[in-house]
Amino acid sequence: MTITMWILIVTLVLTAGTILIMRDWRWTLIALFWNYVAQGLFIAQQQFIIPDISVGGREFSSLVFIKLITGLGVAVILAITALTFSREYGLEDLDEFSLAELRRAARVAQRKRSSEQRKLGDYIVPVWSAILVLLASFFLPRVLPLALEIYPNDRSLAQAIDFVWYWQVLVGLIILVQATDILKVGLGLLLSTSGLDLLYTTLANGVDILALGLISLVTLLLALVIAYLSGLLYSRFKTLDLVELERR
Amino acid sequence: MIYLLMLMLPVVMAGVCFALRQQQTFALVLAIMTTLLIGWMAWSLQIDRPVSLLGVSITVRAINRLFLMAFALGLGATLVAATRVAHGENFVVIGLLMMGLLNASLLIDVQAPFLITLLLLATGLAIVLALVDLPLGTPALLRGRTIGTGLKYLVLMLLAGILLALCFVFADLESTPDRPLSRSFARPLLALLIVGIGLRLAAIPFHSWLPDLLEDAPPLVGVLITAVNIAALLFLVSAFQFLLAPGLLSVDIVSLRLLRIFALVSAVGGALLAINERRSLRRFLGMLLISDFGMMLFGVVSSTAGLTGALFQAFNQMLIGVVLWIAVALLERPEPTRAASGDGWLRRRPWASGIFIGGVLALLGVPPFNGFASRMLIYQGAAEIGRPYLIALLVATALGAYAFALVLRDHFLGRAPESVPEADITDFRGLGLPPPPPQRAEPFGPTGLAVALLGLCIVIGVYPPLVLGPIVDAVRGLTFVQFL
Repeated sequence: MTITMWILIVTLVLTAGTILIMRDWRWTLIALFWNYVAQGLFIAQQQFIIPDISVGGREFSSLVFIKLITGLGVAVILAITALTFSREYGLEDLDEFSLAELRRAARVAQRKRSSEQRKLGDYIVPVWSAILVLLASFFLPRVLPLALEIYPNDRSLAQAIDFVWYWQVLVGLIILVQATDILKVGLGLLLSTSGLDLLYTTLANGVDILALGLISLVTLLLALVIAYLSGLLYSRFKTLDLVELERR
Repeated sequence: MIYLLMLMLPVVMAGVCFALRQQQTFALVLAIMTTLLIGWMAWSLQIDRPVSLLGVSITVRAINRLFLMAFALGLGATLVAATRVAHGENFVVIGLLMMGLLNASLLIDVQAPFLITLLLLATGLAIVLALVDLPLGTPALLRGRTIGTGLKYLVLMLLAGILLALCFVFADLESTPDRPLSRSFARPLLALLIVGIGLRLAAIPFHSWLPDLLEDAPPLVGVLITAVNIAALLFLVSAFQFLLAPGLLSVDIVSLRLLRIFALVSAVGGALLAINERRSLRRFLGMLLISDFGMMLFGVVSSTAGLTGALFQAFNQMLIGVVLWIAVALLERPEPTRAASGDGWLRRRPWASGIFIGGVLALLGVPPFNGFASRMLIYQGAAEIGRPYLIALLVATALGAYAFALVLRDHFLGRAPESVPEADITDFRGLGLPPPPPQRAEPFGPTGLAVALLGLCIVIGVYPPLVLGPIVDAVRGLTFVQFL
């Protein structure tokens, strides 16, 4: 294992951990973008990836660029959504009942925002779950090693690959369990998908470029669907909290 | 070229229809013509002739061609019904996109199961969009519960996608001949496949999303949901062939028994839950569909006769699904007068009620409908492997029939409508609003179409070889049954 690999693994852990722990979308979306970048570079380190593009005298694989473009696309879609939450649309078609309902929702959301205080205690569960997931990702490759079947002669590399995909998928799933707002659910789904992508790219018997393209397309579509649902939820309840879905 | 057209034409036309979505009628006409063209292309496809497209192997089997035509017919009929029935602003666009994805999942060779998994995942995303799609210019707000249902479906479908993808990565590891494995992945592989497909088919205990989705979605979206579930079942059959025939997966007797019990729990449990959910027509239908998918799943893991019955039932369900969801859409059209209490649908909407009743009877396998022949084959498959299985399936059918009898009593039968005072109708919101425009209660187009489809169900029921031919041919080629 090279030092670059170690740096990339640490970046993946830190970025996914940030997404799990932090609640502010400015932090989580930046972390998501860097997670995609680190994932692309991590894949590029594998022996089977053949560089086919030369940029500034350095050779890269087109796979890295696919991952980078996907990550950038996803981060931009979600960032634009987060920035335009306050946008109102389709109001001209609504009847007086619906408009009154919207005004009521805005009042409720405003009240809730003003009474909300961020406490240190809010971070206890996410931090401990991050530690538990880290431990699980560390021990699972020893119980059910998959990459070792592909790289029997390089145990440390195999364990690194297994650790990374277990980490991405498990962090994604734990975010889904703990999410209290729709954007966080989306981030959990995207992290799980990226773990799946990593698993396929590193372990599948011959990488199919169409499959990789389709994974990227599905990831972008997923981001769009999350952005659309977030927009719908915000325009309806003036908040992204999932609690509102249960109440009404 | 024809394959590329079958994949790309619906997608391109979806883009065109999106641009024309303000002119709904024009977009609908274009979409109907597209589905007709796709149906014709599916008809003229040459079977069992492998070709390569964008590096992917495509081989059309007789069974795939049959379902390609069924999907085209189903979507075409739904779009015709949409000309007179309320639907979302982007329903046409999403329907066409879905058609492109389903075509791709049926055309791509089973040797690329990872691709098909991703395509099915993409159909899940499209369903979420169809769910939250409100009609153009609607004065109402989207309910929060609908967004929640969409989110739940999205999470579960992604989970199913991850499990299935993991399953095929395991299969990939198992299939490499020059790489001896330190351990066998057969058991986790089977578990991942069954849980992944169980999630997609809403098999019990992974079922809660289906009734919620059907309850919150516009009625015609029910057809798209049915089509996606049928595609998932076909994928399971292909996956079994891909995994079992070359020996990547071996199913021992204990696992097989567990699989059959898993399917039976859905068949019986779905029918039981249908009794519990009879207050809502949509939830009742959802539970009946879960029971039906349980039966099909059982057929797939029983015997040759059972597998034939399961595939036949899948085809039938596509047709019956269109009939049922058009009937639900017709029943739910706003009425010009308020219904008096105890006033059954059968008196208020006789045609739509008749279509709904016929559809449910077909789904339950009552002769002379098409469901009878397919269910008989599934029963035969059950009888071949053990009498308790057959009894369980018959109990499931009896429970389904009982649930339907209760639905008939609660929703469809009732006394004649009482005349409602005009003032009561005109000012029912207390706002002095004008009365709703007088409507033709049962529009001729969708009603006639649904009656014609129900007629087709009877024709197939009376003469099953019309559809059974390609299914029997396909099952002959599915060698995995002998490994069960």
